[in-house]
Amino acid sequence: MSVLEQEFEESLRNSLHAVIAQPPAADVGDRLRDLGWHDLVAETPAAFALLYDELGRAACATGLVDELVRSELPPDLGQTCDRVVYPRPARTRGRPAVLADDSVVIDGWMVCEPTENCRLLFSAYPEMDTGTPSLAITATGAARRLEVQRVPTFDVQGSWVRIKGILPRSVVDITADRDGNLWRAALDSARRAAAYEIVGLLRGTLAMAVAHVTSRVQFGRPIGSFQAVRHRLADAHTALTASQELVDTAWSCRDSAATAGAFAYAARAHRAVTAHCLQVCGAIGMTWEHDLHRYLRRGYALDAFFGPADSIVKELGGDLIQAPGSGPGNHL
Amino acid sequence: MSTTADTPFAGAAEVPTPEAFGSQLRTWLREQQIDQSLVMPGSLEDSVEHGAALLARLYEGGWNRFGWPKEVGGLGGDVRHRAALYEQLALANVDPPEQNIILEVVGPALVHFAPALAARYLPRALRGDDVWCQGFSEPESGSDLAGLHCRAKRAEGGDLVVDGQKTWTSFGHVADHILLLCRTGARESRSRGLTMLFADLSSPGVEARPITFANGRNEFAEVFFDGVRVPPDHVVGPVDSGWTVASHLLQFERGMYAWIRQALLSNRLRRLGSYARSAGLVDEVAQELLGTARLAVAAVRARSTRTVDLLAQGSMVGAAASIDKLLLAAAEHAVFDAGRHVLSPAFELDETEPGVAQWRAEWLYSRAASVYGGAAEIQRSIIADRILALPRE
Repeated sequence: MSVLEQEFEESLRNSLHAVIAQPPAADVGDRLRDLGWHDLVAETPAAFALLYDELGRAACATGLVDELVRSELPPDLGQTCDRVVYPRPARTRGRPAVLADDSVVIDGWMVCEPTENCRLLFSAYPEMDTGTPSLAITATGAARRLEVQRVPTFDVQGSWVRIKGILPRSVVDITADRDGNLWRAALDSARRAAAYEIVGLLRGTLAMAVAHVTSRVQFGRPIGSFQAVRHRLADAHTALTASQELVDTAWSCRDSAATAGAFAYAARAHRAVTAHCLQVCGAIGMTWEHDLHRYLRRGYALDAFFGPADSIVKELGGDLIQAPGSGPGNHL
Repeated sequence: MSTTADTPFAGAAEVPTPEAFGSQLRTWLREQQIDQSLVMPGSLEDSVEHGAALLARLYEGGWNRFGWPKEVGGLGGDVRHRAALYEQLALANVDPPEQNIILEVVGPALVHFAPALAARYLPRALRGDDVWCQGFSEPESGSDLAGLHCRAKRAEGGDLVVDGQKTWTSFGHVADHILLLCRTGARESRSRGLTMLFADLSSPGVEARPITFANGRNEFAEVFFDGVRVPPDHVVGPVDSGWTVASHLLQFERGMYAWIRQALLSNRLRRLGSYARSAGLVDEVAQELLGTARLAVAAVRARSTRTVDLLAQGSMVGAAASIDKLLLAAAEHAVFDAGRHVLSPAFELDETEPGVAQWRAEWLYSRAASVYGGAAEIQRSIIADRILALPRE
C-alpha cells in the first residue's frame, strides 16, 4: 500500500468512526448517504471493506450488509431496490419466496426493519422444484402489505426481522436469474460483508481485553504481565490477523469457496477470541454494562445467519474428498 | 560449466515476472520424468541424496537460480521467484529438496551480510553439491538463544577459534558448511556479544553425531567444535553483530519456511482427499478435520503471500513473522491429524498398508512444528511484547 493509499484509508477510517459513533445506529446508513458515501464507493468499492470493519469494531448493529449486495448486482437491479430478504437461517440454500400463478409467497428474514416505502429484493422459486429461480423486486409501498415481526435474536441490539405474506404478481418485478447465479453472488457478497464485520468485532474485543489487562493490577503487577494472560491474547491476535488475511483474499478474488472459507475461519476465530477475552477480563467482562457481550452476541448471530461456520467447514472437507484434484486451489 | 540451454529464459535480458516464471516452470515440470516417490520415510541421508539430484536438474535448467542476485550466481529476480518454484513443485507432486529448508534460511543471510561468501558458496549449494546447516541451539540454550556459550576467540593471524557444542542441528551430520552463532563477547553480554560465522565442517576439530528423531530418521545432529579455526573472511556481518544477522535470518525462517511448507501441506491435503475418496470414506469427523485443515493451510497461505511480498521488497517483517510461525504450526498439526484419522486404524496398527509408513513419519515430525525455529511460547511472547505492547513479564 502506498503512503497516499495509507493516508486515504486512515482518513476514511476516521470519518467512518465518527459517523458510526454517533447514535442512533439505525441511522448510520442515512448519515453515510448524506456524506456522499455512495459516490465514494462507486469509485472505490474497497471502501466497503473498511465500513464493515469499522461497524464491527464499534459493534454497531445495522442492516448495511444489504448495501454491498445491492452494489454487486447489475445496476438495473441493484439501483431499483432498497433492502434484501434473505432465506430463513440455517437453510442458506432455502427459498425466501415462492412464485405461484398470480402471487408471490414470501417467508424470509431481514437484517433490519423495512421502511414502509422500501423496495425488497429476494430470490423467488417456482412452486414445483422444476424451473429456474428468478430475482424479484417489490414495487414501492408493497412491503406495507407484509407481516413484519421483530425476532429476539442473541444480538440484542440488532433489529433482525422475519417477513411473511403474499403479494400479487402485479406489484413484483420479476427478472430471470439463470441457475441462480446472481442470487448466489449476492449471498456471497453478503457473506464477505459479514466476515469483515466479524473481523471488526474481533478487533474491538481484543482492544478491550488489552486495555483491561494493562490497567488491572493484582499481586502488585498488571495482570497483562502474566504469561498465561499474555499468551491467550497473542493467540487472539494471531487468529484475528489470519482472519483479516483470508477475508482480504476473498474480497479481492470474489471466489465463492474462498468467501465461505474466510467467513468460516473468521466466525471460528470469533469464538476463540471471545473465549480468551472473556476469561482475561474476569467478572467485570461478564456484566451487562461491559461491552464485551455486545461483541459476543453480534458475532454469534452473524455466524448463525450467514454461515454457519461448522457446516461450511464440513462442506469444504467433503469437497476435498469428492474432488481432490480441484482441492485447495489458489485461494483456498 | 553447466548450461541454461533448456530454460526458455536463456540469454533473455530481462528477468521474467514471478507469474511468467511459474507458468514456464509448470510446463517444464510436466515434461520431466521426476521420480515422484516420496522421500519420507526413507532415511534422511537418502532423501538428501534425492534432493541433491533434483537440485542438479533444476540448476541445469536454471530454474532454482531465479530469485537470487546475479552477483552471487543467480539469474536475478527476487524471493517471489523462489516462492513460485516451491509452489510449482508441490503442484507437480514433487517434494522440495529437503536441504532447501536450510538453504532458504542461510542463503539470504549470506547474500545480505557476506556477499563474497555467497558468490563463492551459493552456486554449489544450488547445484546440490553442498549441504548447509544452521548452528544456533545448544544444550543449555534452546528458547533462550541469547544465552548461548559456544565460543569464538581471535587467534594469531586473525583466525577465529571455535570451542563448544551445537545441537538439534538439522542435517548437521551430512552438511558441508554450518552457519554458526558464537559468543565473542563477555559471558554476560547476552545478545550484544555474538558473532555469526560460516564454518567448513570438514575442518579439523569438528565432530558431528546424528540424533535419531522419534520417527526413526536422523532429522538432526549434535555438532562439537574443538579448537576449530575459521578464517576471518568467513565472518558473516561484523564481529559482535551476530544477533542482527540472526534476526534478519529468522524472518526467513519464520516467513519463507512457512511458504514452502504451505505448498507441501496443500499437496498432502490433495493426497488425503484422493485417499479418502478411493477408500470410500464418508464420515463427518473426516469432513470436519479435513475442512479445518484446509482452512488452516489457507490461512498460512494468505498470510505468507503477504510476507513473501514484504521480503521481496526488502522490508523488515520483524515481530510479525511470529504470526506466520504460529499459523504454520497449527496447520502442520491440523493436516497430519486429519491424515491420522483418514488412515486410522492402519495408521496406528498396520504399517504394511500403503502410505502408512510415510504418514507416521510425517505426523511425528509435524509435532515438532511448534518447537523448532523458536517454540510457540516464544512466538507468543514476541507478539505480546512487540505487537500488543502488553506489560512485560
